[in-house]
Amino acid sequence: MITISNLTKYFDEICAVNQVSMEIPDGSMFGLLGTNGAGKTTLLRMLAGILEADSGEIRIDGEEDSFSPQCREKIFYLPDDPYYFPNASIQVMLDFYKKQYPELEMDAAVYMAQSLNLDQNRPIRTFSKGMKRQAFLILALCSQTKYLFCDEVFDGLDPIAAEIMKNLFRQEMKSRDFTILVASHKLRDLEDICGNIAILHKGGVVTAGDFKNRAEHVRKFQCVFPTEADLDSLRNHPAVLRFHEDARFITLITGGNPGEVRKALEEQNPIFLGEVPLSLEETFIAEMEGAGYDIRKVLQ
Amino acid sequence: MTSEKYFSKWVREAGRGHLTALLAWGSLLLYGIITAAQLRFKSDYFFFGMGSGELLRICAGLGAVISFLEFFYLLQPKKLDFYYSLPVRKNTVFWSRYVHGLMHVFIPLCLVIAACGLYESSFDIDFLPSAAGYTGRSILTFAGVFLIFYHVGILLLTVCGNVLPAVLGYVLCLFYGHILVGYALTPWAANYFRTYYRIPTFEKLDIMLAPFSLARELTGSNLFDKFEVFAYVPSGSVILAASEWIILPLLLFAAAQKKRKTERVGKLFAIPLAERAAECLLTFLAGVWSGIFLTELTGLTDRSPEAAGAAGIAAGIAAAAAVHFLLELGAGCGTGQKPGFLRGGIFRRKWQLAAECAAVVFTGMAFLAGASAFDSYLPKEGQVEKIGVSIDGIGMSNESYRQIRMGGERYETVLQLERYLLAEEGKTAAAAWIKSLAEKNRLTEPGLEPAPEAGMESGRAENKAPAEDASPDSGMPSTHAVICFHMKNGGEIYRLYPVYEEELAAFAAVYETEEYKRAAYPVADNEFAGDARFSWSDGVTENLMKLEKHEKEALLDACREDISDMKMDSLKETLLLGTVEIDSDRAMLPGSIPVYPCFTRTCSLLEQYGAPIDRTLADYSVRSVSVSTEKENVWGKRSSEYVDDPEEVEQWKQKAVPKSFDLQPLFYPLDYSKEIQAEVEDETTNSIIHVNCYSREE
Repeated sequence: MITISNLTKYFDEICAVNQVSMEIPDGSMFGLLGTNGAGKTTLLRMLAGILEADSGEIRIDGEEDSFSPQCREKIFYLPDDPYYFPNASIQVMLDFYKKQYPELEMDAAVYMAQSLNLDQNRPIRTFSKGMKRQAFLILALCSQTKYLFCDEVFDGLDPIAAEIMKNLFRQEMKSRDFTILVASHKLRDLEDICGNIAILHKGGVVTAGDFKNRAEHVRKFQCVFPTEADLDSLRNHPAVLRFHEDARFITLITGGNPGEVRKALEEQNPIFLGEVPLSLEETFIAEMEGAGYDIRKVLQ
Repeated sequence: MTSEKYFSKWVREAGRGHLTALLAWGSLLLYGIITAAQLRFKSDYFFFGMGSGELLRICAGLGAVISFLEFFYLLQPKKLDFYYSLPVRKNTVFWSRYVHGLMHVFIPLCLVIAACGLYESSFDIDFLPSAAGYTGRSILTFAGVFLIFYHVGILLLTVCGNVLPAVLGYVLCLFYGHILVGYALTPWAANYFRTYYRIPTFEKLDIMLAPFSLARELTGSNLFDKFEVFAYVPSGSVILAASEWIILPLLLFAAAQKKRKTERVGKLFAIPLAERAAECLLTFLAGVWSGIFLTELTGLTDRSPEAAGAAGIAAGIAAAAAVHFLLELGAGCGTGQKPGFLRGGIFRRKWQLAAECAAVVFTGMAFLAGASAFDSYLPKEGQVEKIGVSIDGIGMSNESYRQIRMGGERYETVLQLERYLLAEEGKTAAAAWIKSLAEKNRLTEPGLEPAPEAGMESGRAENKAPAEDASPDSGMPSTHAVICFHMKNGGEIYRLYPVYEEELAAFAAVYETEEYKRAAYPVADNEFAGDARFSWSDGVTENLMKLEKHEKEALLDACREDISDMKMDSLKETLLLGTVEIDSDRAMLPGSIPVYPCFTRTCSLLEQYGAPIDRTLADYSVRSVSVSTEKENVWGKRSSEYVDDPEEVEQWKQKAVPKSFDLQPLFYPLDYSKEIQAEVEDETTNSIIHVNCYSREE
């Protein structure tokens, strides 16, 4: 498990990460969500041992020195734009990583590369962006580290490539004790694979946790009301988190006691009243706007 | 994995790409092959180790290039993230690259030098006795040169966050010391110290603070004589300075690589302290240099040194402040940062600015306040081992004298200071004369200006007083004297004094000492004279004298006695009659003795031996004369005239004096505005001799 306590990082006068505390449980896929400049990459780089925190503490499996090679053997950091040696092929990078991560499974890597139609002897520089990402994902997954930190790993990938990579993650998590920390600025990239998500904003954690569970009390209603209905009372109802009006077609997202909310809606004699399932995105909107944050940019 | 294996794995990893290996092994092996090919044919003046300028440049270049090749990753954010995210400590990556760079230079360097040493020993007998010492010293010194440039490069790459400041910083490190000492501190001394000639400490500093000059001293690359090179051992101060250039950057970058923050890559400096240090160094240099530049531009030092000093210091402060603000403005440009002063106000580093200005003021004040102490200083006789004396215009050709007066190089002065080195009775006489010289110039009492009765325009001992203008009433010094005190502690102190007519006459007390005359008119020992050939030269032809050994000895004795009796004033009365040329196979034997009309014993013997001592150019048959005349008021422009009319030729040849007779332009000046080339018919050999002459003053 990774425990982060009061982690702070300044870049000159700018506070990139501000008193961040969280726990990343083992065997989970943890999402870090935030706009550009929210501090996701800085947090990842600190966890990977690239940057030193100004204050606070990182403990990886309880170890105090997160910079020790022993501790870092458990981590593979996959940045947004990974580095590879000039003219290096997948095979060259595999040979290099094998020296750094002795547990690296060469055969599995070769098999995965062949499965994804990646020529392991072709220079990586000749690969497309998606192919490069797939190649590095193979390296990361086959390194057999306990933790994988990925930065914007799905950014710029076509849907098929993104789905292939997500499947690779899922398979690896099923097969062994594997924890993935993924940073992204798009909720859609994370919503179908991450159980836990932390939202970062201006260096701080806005909220973190399992949002699907936390959204149990949040409901989404679609209704059509007659003209004489008192929509203002509905709009100002304390349980209503979001109120969207399109002529007489109203969409509401509500919190509080679902029974009480339905009762309040029925009091207005709706012509149509139906409850529809919430997406993770809408759950976030509700959570965040309820907490007073404008995170629409995050959810673009 | 043990730490040794772990480290060696990273040393091997540092060799990825093989660029360092290719460059180091390639250049050194190529050097070895080319050197070995040339050694066989040029072993007298071609050296494979110390004394080799080529190896010096290769080692210095490798140091600079390999430091950038090995440590460039420190300036590459992607690569840095890649390495630092791996299960390895940052300092393992750093030191493994350091060792990798060293290894790939030291191994081929040792191999190439050792192989060349073995090869030269196989055929060069002169080299054999010093083979081991020379080869060993060569390996050590060139390894030292590599380390100097390698460490400076690593330091710059460690403290900088961006390639531009790293490269500029490297250039600055190489030239800073030389610019500071040569172009700032020395001009301050030259402008404010009235008796300034040279300060050996500054010259030493100039070498010690400039890595390339230091490397030249360390490896003896400025030496050319074979035996001198083979025996060369750098001085203790050079070894100490080289060690400092190696160790200090090593300590600094060892500390800096620990403090270096990854996130500062891309900014100008990765270590904020380095930014301040660079600002301070540049600002100080700009202040000190601008101060003296303004002083020289205004030329105020001659009229009022205090006003010039105040103006110089004020200009220095203004320049220091301007450079400080410019650097603050520039800090952050092109790195995505706001300029420094926008981040913390224009005076965000006000105390640093104050310290920089204070350093400029202190430096300026040190020269101003130290001027009187410098000028009035005369070492006690007990402290002085030898005194070197050179007076402009005495014992030198007019060409040298003219060059000195025009402010050009003082080659002849340097030679004279070595030649006229007085340690016995000459030293006592010279010390007394120098004291009177200093007193006359009122330089012995601090703060005093030169005596007004001396009529000096200023007390500055500059080389701008033409002797021809000098007269008792002209107020200009007749000439200048350069003095070098060789101290018993090994130090050297130089002074330049203006010499007026009275002091010039008083110099006879020094000139007429036996010690000075031995230096000015060296005469070969009798024991060497036996196998030497003696001839009489009248400036046109040489006449061989067939002398027995006892005749030669008698001639040399006569010369010695005449020189001993010679008075300095006699130089003002006549020119040479000619010279006795002594030609011998023995090296270092004094080869030419000037003969003046007052050398009665010598003249009598020469006549007896059949030397035509009365024959002058006028006695020869001159076919034609070319006269080149300096145009009036147009310096450097000359007009030429070819004369072949017998009457005119006759007139010119009566006035012409061979240039080789022009040895005392101060005492017996000729008409230097006319240069004459006489075409003389030598009837004995039936040939034409071209004789370069000056004209006697009319």
